[in-house]
Amino acid sequence: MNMSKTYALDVQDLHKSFGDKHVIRGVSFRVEHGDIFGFLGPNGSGKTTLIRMILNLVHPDRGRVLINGYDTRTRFLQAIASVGAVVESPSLYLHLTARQNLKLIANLHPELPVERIDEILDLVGLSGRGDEKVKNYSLGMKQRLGIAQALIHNPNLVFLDEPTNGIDPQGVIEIRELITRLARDHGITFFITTHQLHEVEQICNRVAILKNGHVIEEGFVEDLLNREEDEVEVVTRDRDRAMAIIEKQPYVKDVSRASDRLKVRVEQGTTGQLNRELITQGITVDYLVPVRTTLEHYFIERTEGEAHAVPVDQK
Amino acid sequence: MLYRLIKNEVFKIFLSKKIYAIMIVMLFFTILPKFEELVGNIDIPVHGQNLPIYMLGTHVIVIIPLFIIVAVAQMFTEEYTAGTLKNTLLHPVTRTRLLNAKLLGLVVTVMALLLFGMLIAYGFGTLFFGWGNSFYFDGQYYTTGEGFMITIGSYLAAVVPLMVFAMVMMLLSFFFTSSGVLAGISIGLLVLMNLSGEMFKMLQPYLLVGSFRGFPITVFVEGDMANAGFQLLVMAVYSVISYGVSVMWFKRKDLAY
Ligand SMILES: Nc1ncnc2c1ncn2[C@@H]1O[C@H](COP(=O)(O)OP(=O)(O)OP(=O)(O)O)[C@@H](O)[C@H]1O
Ligand SMILES: [Mg+2]
Repeated sequence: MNMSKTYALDVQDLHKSFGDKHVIRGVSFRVEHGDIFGFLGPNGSGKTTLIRMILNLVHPDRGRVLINGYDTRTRFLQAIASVGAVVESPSLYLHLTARQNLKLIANLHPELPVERIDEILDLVGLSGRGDEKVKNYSLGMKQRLGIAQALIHNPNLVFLDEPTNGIDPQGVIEIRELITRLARDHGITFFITTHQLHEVEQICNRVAILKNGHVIEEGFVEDLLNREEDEVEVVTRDRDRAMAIIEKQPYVKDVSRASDRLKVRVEQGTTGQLNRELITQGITVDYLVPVRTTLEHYFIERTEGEAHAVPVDQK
Repeated sequence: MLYRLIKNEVFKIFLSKKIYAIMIVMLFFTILPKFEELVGNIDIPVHGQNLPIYMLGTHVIVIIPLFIIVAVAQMFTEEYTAGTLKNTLLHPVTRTRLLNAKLLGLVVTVMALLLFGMLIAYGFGTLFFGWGNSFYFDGQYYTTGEGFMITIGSYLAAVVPLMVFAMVMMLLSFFFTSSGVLAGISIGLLVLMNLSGEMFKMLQPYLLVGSFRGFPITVFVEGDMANAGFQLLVMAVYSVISYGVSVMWFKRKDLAY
């Protein structure tokens, strides 16, 4: 290898059109070894398409993908050797048992010991159900079997496309624990797409947000959550006057109207000051509600486009 | 790796019910001559040693081509739309190698079916009609040894046109996303090729279906090597086109399921 650093995954300027629909429009990002990388985006934004492109199932129109330093166009077999993946929903032979499904994959890796199938069934919580036909499995059980398929050959980079889809709350916790444990103890890098934003908050260290075929935000989850501002909602009947007062305050960054309240973004730690100011000026503040900045909030704000264009219902 | 891929394909075929259904059909046709005898309309001397060569036509003209159609629909079209085709491609396997493995898996299976067909014909033929003194076929008598040669050689040679047919089916399978539609159209095509061969004799040498039984008989009974060579040439053209286009197509295809 050369001197430059290799990433678990290095995606460079990918493009893809289906007909005249330009679905992926220049996507670039990097995933470091050991990351649990969350990939967020609304329905139809191209998350699954992007995974397919990374894995060479769908051919990019332009751009380059390096997996562990191997270019997927020229060194595909080396690149894919250390990858495990569930793309969209798990693809299973329904008329075969779970064990037979896993056997088909284990057969491609002769180095795996025979006990590996039991081991992996146990790991995803399916031991005891391995000899049942997959067509009798529930959605969550199929999802678990899909994860088992992705992990059986000890890959070091694992792609999971909405891994907790269809899994019950207890199972969701188990799967999240499984992912964090594998990342921590075995150094496996994960690339996870999901709609569950709190999932990203809980288990991912890095995140990218995809919208309209572009990555509009990429960074450490911590950084995205620790923005230097607070958000409060001011509930009052005297909205016009309150609005005028709030707008004049130097520490206020933004104010907008929602039905019975005003949404205000202020510099960190200035909420109390705002409250005192309003009361001093004779405004009756019914409630002052702090809005916790969650990733969910942030995500909706970033993917909705004009987030502050809220209709006003004045009398 | 190729060997393991082939093993997987064969494993999948033998875990589905279709192959057993085909074997039951082969069995049924093999014991049919006994009923024909009972109603008294067998006009050629059938014995244990020549029933297999008579059964060859039944197996290779209709039953095994039907199996190939169903198997190709399953291993290409159905696996594509179910997404299981991509499972293999997420491991160090090239697309071309996967196609090769599927075709070779089919070769193994078709050979197993032919062997099965031959053995049950020997078995039931002897059981029903006795072994017989010599090998009679197509108006001629041969020694038992020659009979074995002709029979085994013909069953082996039958693999060639059947595999060419499988490659044509493989190419066809890329144009459909419904295995039912693919199977329907393929069966229609098979019937059509047989019919046009009957109606326009001059077309027959180019239609492939004529070679299913024709090629083994030409080589091992008629011994007409010029004709055999010509049939091989026609089959080579079919296979080069089908295989070549299939590989090129599959390598470039976006796997969207
Ligand atoms: N093979 C294809 N042919 C045509 N259009 C496609 C194809 N595959 C994907 N698309 C389109 O690309 C866009 C992105 O689809 P994709 O499945 O990647 O979205 P996604 O982000 O995974 O959505 P979801 O969150 O619902 O899973 C969609 O508009 C989809 O219709
Ligand atoms: Mg998706």
